[in-house]
Amino acid sequence: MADWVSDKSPKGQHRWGMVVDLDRCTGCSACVVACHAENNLAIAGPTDTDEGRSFDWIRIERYWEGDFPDTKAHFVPIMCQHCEAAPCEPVCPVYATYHTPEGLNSMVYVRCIGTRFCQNNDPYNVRFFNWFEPALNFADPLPNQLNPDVTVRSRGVMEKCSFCVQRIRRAEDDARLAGRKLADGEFTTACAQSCSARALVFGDLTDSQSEVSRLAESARRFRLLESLGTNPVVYYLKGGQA
Amino acid sequence: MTSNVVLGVFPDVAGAAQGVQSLLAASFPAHSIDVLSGVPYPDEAFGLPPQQSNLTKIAPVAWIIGAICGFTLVAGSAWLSRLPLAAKPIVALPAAGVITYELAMLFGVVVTAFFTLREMRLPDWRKSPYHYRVAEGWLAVTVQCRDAMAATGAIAALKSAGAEEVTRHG
Amino acid sequence: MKLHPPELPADEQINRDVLMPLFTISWRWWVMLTLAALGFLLGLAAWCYMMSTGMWVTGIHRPVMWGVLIANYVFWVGLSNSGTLFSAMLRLAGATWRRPITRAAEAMTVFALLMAAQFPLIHLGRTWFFYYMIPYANQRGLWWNYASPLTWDLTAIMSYLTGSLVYLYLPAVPDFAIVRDHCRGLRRKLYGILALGWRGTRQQWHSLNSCIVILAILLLPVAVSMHTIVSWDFGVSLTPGWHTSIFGPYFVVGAIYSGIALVITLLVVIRRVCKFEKYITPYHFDKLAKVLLVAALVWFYLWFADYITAWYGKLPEEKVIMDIKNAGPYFWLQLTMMLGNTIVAIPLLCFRKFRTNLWALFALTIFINIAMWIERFLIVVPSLVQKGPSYSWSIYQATWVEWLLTLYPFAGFCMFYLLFAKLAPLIGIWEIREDKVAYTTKKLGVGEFSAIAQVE
Repeated sequence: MADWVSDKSPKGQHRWGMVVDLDRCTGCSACVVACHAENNLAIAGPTDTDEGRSFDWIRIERYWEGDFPDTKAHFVPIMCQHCEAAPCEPVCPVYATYHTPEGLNSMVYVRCIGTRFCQNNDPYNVRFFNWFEPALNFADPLPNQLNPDVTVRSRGVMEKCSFCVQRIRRAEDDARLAGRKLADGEFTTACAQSCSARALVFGDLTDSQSEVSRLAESARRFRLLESLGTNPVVYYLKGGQA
Repeated sequence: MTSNVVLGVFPDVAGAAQGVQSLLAASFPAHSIDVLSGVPYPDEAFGLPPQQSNLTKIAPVAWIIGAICGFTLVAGSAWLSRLPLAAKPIVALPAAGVITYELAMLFGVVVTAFFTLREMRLPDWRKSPYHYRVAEGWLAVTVQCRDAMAATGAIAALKSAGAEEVTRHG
Repeated sequence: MKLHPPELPADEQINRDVLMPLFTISWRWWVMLTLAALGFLLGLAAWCYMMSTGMWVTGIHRPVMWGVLIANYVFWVGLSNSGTLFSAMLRLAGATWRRPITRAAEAMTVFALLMAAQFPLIHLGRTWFFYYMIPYANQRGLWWNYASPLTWDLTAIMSYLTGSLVYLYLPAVPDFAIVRDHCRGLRRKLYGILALGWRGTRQQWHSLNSCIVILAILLLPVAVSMHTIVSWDFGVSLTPGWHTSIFGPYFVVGAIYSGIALVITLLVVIRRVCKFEKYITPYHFDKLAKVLLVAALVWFYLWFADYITAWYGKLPEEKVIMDIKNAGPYFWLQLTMMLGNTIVAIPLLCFRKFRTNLWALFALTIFINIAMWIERFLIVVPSLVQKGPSYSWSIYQATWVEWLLTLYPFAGFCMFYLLFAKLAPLIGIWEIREDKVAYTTKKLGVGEFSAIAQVE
């Protein structure tokens, strides 16, 4: 196929991916808190959360199995799956969401006009719409805790997990300035950093020696809603009975 | 252009046809004779040669130009500012086809409308020969005369055909 | 009872009758206009309020990102779809009973589309940046994504709106000339401009007639494509319940169905208010209602084809959507929809007695359009409330802002239509006159029958 009709998008040096080990996850929600702190997520109260207007770039879905008292809880951390064939991308009329050469499903806030089509076409429900003015979300003294590396999203735009793109960029820049290759484990996302059970592992999937690559090869691996063909780069690990 | 035009009003199509015939008999060329009416009549009703319209040729050409413009806009702009989307080629033909189609149709409609107005010689803000009774279903036969002498002949011809009113313009 | 096409009076009488609404304004018209304008302004106020506070004033939330506003959009695009499409179809088919109907139907398309086209803007999170979607050279380094169905919508609506305006205006030029010849002063100047100096020369008639045919040929597929593209807003997504290839034809037929229902509603009112009893008769309503019946049957056929495919397949994602429609919170809506669109409409429309009873038709067509609005709602919302992982499922409840914005297009449409009724004759005068030219009587045995001469 000629270059202009096929997807020969430039492939970057890295392809970022994540592994979520469900057998390790304790459902402690430290990742959720870390994500809120790192990415300037608005804090939604009980009413807004109840109305489906909370912001959780990563969330712990909790499912119960069996009847009381023989119940088991299952925890599934879900964040943007950064699909290689992301259904949310082509439906945006203004390219507010697109694929970076490093495989990130990225969001350009200033471009977004808020059609919300991406969320409708997102099978994982991991996109979040800004219903309120940021000033409403961050009343004093909350603005003092905002991360200066991350944009505070304005009202009317979509947002979602960025794989902590600010950390990726900083690490890449540091490595380039020092003239060395970026080593595995040199940095990680806020959620993975805070996961005490080491259920979340982030890294470069092109590097076959990285921890994430080795885990993604595991026999326990699967991906969410794989039948849709969205090709996520988030791998889940689950073996036998929990 | 509108000088020396003679206009005769007839209450019905039979009278108007009579008027046209007597003008033709008085050797006025067919192309100088016109009929104003409130409804479209077939040209055969007056015994005049049929009118021509190029719209059926213009519309397909406009459509094709629109299609080319549409495809150029879509494919060209996507090619010039390439932004990869997951699993979508730079120029996705099915998607480009949709917009090409819509723009082709748009061009077809707009250009056809434009040339229709040109063929109809509208808008026309001059005081061209007209009679208000045309709006009430009457017909007006107009004839373009070379000079005042011919105009007198035309007036006589239209009166003899039974015109209710004959006026001369210019 | 045998239905005949109406006997038309003399030309001067036709002018007087059809132009009457242009030269007289009753107090009822003022009341209607005031009410419509009030509703329109309320809607505008709701829109401004929503823009200045944020989308949280609506009931939409994750995962139901599109709600009543998009249902309104689909509904009004559907209504607009029909007028021009219907008129083009009848013109190309040479159906002579179209003549008193086409103008009203074409005007309906333009005003319905004018209201529909606002909804993609209304429901934007940042309406004030809507022009990001338009492809023009700019310093923002921002271009449209032509692969998004929303940009297809943009081009389709643009094409259809432009086409429909042209298609409404050009055939009305000879009528504007008639109005011009019937009035004086400033009015005469205004209609003189609208009539462009039309005189009715042979060339003008000839070009106008070929133009109408070409426009009809071009606009038919545009109308079909427009509502198909609206259906692709849903169809090309991966969302269960939306992702189905039948949506294209299903939407188009649904649009024709609700659009013709609205044409009938409007004509009943126009006939009564403008005193057009001589020109629009039960003969026309009988024909219209037959087309409505066909649309109802095809709509039901396509609906059932979609339903049984999903019902039999029982894919878990689709089953949850079926369940909430068949027994869950949307059961009553689904039942009302089926009643209006099928169970009541189809049997009634089979009877000529019913088809020629105008007030019965009026009631039914309004019921049909309520049912069609519900159908649009049932397409948009239930597929979203249980989308994705069950953890984030949630039910949707529209707020007063959304209801005001539902009133908005109704009121706006009525307002524009009322104003239009005072601007242009709602019946194409030259078109019904052309009928008179073509009709002759023919003797067969001892009976007399009307025959149509081939003058077109």
